[in-house]
Amino acid sequence: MTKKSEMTYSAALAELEEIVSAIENEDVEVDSLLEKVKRASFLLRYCKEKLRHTEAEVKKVLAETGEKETEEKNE
Amino acid sequence: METLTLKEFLETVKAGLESSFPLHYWVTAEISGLRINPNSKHCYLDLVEKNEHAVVAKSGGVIWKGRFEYINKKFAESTGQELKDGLKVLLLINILFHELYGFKLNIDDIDPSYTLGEFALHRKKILERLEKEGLLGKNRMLSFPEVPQRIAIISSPSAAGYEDFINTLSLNKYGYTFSTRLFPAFMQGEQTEKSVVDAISECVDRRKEFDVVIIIRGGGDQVDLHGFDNYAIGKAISLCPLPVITGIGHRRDESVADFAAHTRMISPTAVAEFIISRTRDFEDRLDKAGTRLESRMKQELSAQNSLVETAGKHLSIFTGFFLRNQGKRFSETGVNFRNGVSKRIAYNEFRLQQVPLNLMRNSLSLMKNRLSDLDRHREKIELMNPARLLEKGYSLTYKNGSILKNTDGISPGDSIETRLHRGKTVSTVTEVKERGEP
Repeated sequence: MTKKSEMTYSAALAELEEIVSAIENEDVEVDSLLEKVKRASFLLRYCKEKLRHTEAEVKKVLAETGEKETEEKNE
Repeated sequence: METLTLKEFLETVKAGLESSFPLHYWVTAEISGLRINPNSKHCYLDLVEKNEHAVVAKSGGVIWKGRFEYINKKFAESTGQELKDGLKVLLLINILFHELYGFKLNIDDIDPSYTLGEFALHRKKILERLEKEGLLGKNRMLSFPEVPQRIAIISSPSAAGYEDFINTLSLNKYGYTFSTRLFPAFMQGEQTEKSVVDAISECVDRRKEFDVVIIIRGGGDQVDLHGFDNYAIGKAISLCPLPVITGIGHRRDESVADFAAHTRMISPTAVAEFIISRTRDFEDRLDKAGTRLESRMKQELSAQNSLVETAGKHLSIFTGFFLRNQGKRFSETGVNFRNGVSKRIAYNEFRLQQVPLNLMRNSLSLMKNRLSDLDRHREKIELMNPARLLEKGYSLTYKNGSILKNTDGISPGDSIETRLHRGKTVSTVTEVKERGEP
């Protein structure tokens, strides 16, 4: 299992673009749509934070906004 | 026999030499033992010629102070290299002979184009060797990171270019953060090869900590740009598992290091700009994905909104049906529906928290519409609540526990029960009238 702190930019962008294409092209169920949107929005924010802050700061910001679900899910 | 003093003899030699070699000659030779007299500022050097095994010719030479300044400047401007030992040069010389100081070659000019040719040849040989060994292009084949954020810098901390690089990078207008680490090395002189190769190998050992290695030195320095036309450096760059960017700051030909590197930039500042623009490209793609997501979510929300409206309409039809048929159960349904509504509201609020802020702004008004739709439906249902109808004077009549909607199956003498707003009555039927009877 890779922790999200080790997620590379290219992996994050690839996943994000995949989600967006899926949402655009497929008739996604409401509930899974919400999951996907949530994940996409997390990836977006994660990358944008990481571009502008150090690793420690990014972790702190994401922890404060309570975006831990991906981690919990993985555990 | 006539005898001469030494001085007289040497004067004769001098006259003979000068009359035998009255012209200037273009001669190729290698420079060795170049030194500048600290007092006179004249430049003294040895000119040598070697075959594969040994020095086969050697002579002292001098460049007078005034000429030296001119020649050295011109040479450096043209070749990116000041005069130094080991260079092969084409010199314009004439013979000097002095009774006290002996034989010397006076150097009147040096043609840099010859040395440039020598450099090119030297570089070509190294490149051919790297090519033959399958090394050239290895670094270029590495995939370049989307965001080169962790940067190993090989440079001299005193190099002007190092500061330019750090400033350009840290003052980027997008507010990106980069982490840099300097691996100090000599960027010129004898120790260039070893120190650069060592620095690269240190970066290789710590490759997990970095995305990219850059080799930079000030573009302003004109001295000794040819330290990077070096086999060992070319090989180390080629074999580096991280992509290498060079910004070695020379204006002419690419050096071996540039050829071996993944990407070549003309200056340290250009390297920094390249890294920033690469990062910007990445964020552009992020933003594009975000915009697509947002517009898709707007569509989705408005589709959901009309679904709720339709559902609301269906619901009011059904409640009418329930009211007519299932009076008893209706208040329960009403309660269930209210619960459903509040669950729905809570669910919507939950959803709102999950969408990114910009989406939230856009979806908020849609959500509000939906909530007020639901409120409207709730009011309608409240109005149709049977308890409220009884309050207004309507009543419900049962026979044997079943609600009566017509006179079917009712005969005089039957017992019926009438439920009022408060309390109920039990009556006996005395007469049954069909529809239309007075």
